[in-house]
Amino acid sequence: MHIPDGILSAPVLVGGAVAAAAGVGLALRRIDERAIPRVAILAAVFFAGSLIAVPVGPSSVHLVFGGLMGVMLGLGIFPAVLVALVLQAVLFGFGGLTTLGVNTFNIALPGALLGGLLGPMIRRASPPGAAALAAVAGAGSVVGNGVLVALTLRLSSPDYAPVASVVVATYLPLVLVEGAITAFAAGFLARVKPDALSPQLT
Amino acid sequence: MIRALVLLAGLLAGTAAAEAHALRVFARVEGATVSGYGFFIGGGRPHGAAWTATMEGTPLASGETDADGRFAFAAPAEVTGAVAVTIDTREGHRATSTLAPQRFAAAAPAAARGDGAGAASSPAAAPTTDAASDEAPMEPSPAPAGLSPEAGPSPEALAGMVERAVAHAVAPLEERIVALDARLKFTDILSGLFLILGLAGMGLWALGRRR
Repeated sequence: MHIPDGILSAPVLVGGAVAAAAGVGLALRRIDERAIPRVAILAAVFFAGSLIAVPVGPSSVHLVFGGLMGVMLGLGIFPAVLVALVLQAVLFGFGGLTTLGVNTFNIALPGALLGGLLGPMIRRASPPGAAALAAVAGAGSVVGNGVLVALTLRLSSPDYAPVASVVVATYLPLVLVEGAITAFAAGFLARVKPDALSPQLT
Repeated sequence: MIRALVLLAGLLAGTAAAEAHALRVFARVEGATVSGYGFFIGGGRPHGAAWTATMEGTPLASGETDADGRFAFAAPAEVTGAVAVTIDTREGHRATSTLAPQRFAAAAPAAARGDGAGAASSPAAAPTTDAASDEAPMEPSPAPAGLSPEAGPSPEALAGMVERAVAHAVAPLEERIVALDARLKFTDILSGLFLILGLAGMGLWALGRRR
């Protein structure tokens, strides 16, 4: 999810930046004062939560919260991810400044799509149903992110294409944990504050 | 639910997903050996990951990291440029550490002054063994070789010994500095969170002004 500087080719970087800018622009046009605090809170959750990396196999993984952000923010996931990634790049050197656009797009797009697709069903469902659907959104956003990252690496250079077996061994646990945590959060919100599960964009 | 998870696993297997965040490489020159390890910020070492060493683009050595994420290879006989060590976990994490040519000069002065090309090309040496004995295979005992029998060590030999001793002494410090550099600082995390809060406040203010 944090592709560093100096790996991707220029067309991929520019394409990612343009796509991310479009997403952020669309979101900011529709944002209102009810949505801003929520975007900020989830940006903070993503910023701090994805700093905690757990060693798995030969690598280390961390949560992304893409599914949860997609359901709760809709398109608002774009500015939330962008702000958090800027801070992670500047403060900790995670990812890079030239790859901000690509990284934002890779994380935000699967979340926004799954949020738009499953969000209406989650809002209609009972709390256990909402939790189950949210698990799919959470797990799916990790898979979507992984697919996009692999694509961007492969588009830049075949040398960087990841090895499937290593990736599955490393990220299967993350898919399961991300799904479980998204399910827990959405199930809890469905019981105590169902409003929180619909993006407050105008 | 289970079916969905199986489906997801299948998707993952078919599509070679990758993610990359904060892998770092620590490398140092000790005598005739370049050694080091990869580490993830926040914990963990990349074991069984592919590493490659290049000098000005030409490959020097490659292999797989051991259980502690470590690698080691013989330093090049003639250092013509910066030596870069890259670790690739083959699932998207890549990191490179570059050793400037001066680092080799400081660590192996006898080799740098060696008599012509290839004088100091020694096979892989354990980093803990006496580095001096590996540096100049032409001379079985390099430290006494610089000694003229009546007048103590020559200035060059003395300088070499001092440089090696200093390099040995600062090695743990270099390691510590890299670790400190790549640490998550609590104050940075807090400032990040409050920056987000501040941005939200600015957004709200800007929206309120527009009305």
